[in-house]
Amino acid sequence: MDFTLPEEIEMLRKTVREFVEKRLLPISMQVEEEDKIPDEIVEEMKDMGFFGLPFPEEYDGVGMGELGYVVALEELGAANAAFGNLIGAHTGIAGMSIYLDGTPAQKQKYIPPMARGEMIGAFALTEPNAGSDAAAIETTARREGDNYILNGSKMWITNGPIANVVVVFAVTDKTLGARGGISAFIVENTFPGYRVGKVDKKMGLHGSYTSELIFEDCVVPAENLLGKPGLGFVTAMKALDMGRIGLAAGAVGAAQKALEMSIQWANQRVQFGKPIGEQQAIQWMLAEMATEIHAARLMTYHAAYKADRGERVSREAAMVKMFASEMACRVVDKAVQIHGGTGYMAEHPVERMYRDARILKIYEGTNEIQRLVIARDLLKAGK
Amino acid sequence: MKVCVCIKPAWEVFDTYFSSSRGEIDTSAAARQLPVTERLGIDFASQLSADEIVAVSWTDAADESVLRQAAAVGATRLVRIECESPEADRMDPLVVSSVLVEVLKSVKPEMVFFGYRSPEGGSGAVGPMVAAMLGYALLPRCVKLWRDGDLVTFRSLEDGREMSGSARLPVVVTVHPAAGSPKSPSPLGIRRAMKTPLEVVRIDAPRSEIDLRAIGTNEFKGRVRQVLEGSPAQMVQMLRAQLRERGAI
Repeated sequence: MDFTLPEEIEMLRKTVREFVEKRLLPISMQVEEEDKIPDEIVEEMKDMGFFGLPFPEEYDGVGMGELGYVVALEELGAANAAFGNLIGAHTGIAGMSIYLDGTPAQKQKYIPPMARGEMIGAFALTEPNAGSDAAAIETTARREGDNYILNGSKMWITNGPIANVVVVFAVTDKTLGARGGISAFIVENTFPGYRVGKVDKKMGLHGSYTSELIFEDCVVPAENLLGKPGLGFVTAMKALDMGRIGLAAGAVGAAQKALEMSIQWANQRVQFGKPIGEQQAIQWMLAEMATEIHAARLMTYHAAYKADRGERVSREAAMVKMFASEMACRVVDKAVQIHGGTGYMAEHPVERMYRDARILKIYEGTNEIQRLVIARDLLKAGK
Repeated sequence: MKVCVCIKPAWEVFDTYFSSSRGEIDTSAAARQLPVTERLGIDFASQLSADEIVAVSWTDAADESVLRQAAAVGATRLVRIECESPEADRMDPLVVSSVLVEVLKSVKPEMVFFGYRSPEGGSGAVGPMVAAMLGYALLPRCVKLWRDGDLVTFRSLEDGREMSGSARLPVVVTVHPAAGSPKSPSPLGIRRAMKTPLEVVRIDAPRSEIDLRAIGTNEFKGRVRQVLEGSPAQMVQMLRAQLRERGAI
């Protein structure tokens, strides 16, 4: 068993780390306050290839696979969750849906501009009445000649306000439900009947745009049906498997940063005449934080490694999403505790990390749903 | 224009730490990296519209990643030198210069870049020695460079003072770290780097005795009156005598 990362992925890690330290960390608070990633930074990320990390070079991607993608997301996670979120929604679930289930023509049309960052992607599954119960979606798509007509709305869609291309899930046969009744569509923001609704204000994840998307007799060419008719739910689940591994990587990166800041603070903050790091209570917290991060990182890399080998990763993706997101919440909570009053102040990064981490247990499938996925898979395998 | 950038693989010090439990420096996580000044050299070559940027390094196969890093920031050809030579020789600027010159003569670059302290033990002597051996003009400690045809104008930094000058190609440039912040590699650059061909050139161990008198930069060629030889103490005595004779002390 070899735990060494391939040379190009080690180089990628150093490159992203350098970019994070030089370009992203200095503007992290600015992103938080302005609730926006500066345009020039997004352009730099495009030029460097961040928007196409896992896609093959034939689609203008970087060809780093899922492992390279998660290593990059881990490093980005250290800066501000907004950066990883932008890439995660675009690449990990929107682009990945098209890459996994698109026709050669669809892949040729959409993946290269998405990999170059010329088209920003979003993944629209959640609705007002369909969150964890994703099969309960109400957005409909009916065939009319050479088009599908979409009606309905999606909510809390990451990248919604800035997306040029959205993978939308809609009911094509209500009688069949998730088993053959939901189809996926590639919808461009220029299609008639498409519009962005309310832009959401969130507890954390400032700088990452989230909004409602509205479809009013939205005309989608039939050739933009993604995957087989009625099998959209399968596409969604496959893409979410990949997205969940990426989400876990971001959680590991954020937790690692929180740990590093906590170690630094523990060595520097003096109480009772000595650095607080000499107190056993602090030492125990640091030890638990480091151990949990290590476990989550190994789980993340393992899931990515399996995905790159073409193996089914639904169970591993659910496990790592659940574990890494809960780990990140525990770690940032301890980081705030170690920092004391300083960590509760809005100007300190751990305060932001504490708020940013909370969503990890909710989006891309709540952790309750992840437990369901894992348990069902275990029981099915045991039959 | 063909440009060579000679690379000294440096230790990545952030991955090296003192292990208090074992009482020793733990280098298990340490890796070689492309130094900032060599990265700046590649940036200069790109800015001067080089057609070909050849990264050259005398390093072990295990440290080939340093050359890949060079490709990730713009080198278009990679040459790794293999030379059977004692480890101590790699710290000797004269030996390093001789080895590099063997390769540079076959590559025939019009510009050669070095870090201002590369690629031996930090003496900063290799760049000037290579310039002398090749008969190229030396542009030392450069922070800025411009090219107009075969005329290269430079600004350099010496003990905090800025100086400028110009020379005609071919030239050897040593790069001062104050030249700026080097361009970062990108994921796309890394992908390109993994595909950049890497040549391995085997060089015979350099001659054990190199005639120092055969070396002189373009500027000073012909003006060498005497080369001092002997032990350091003897050389100091001879130098003092020379300086006294000329009324300098």
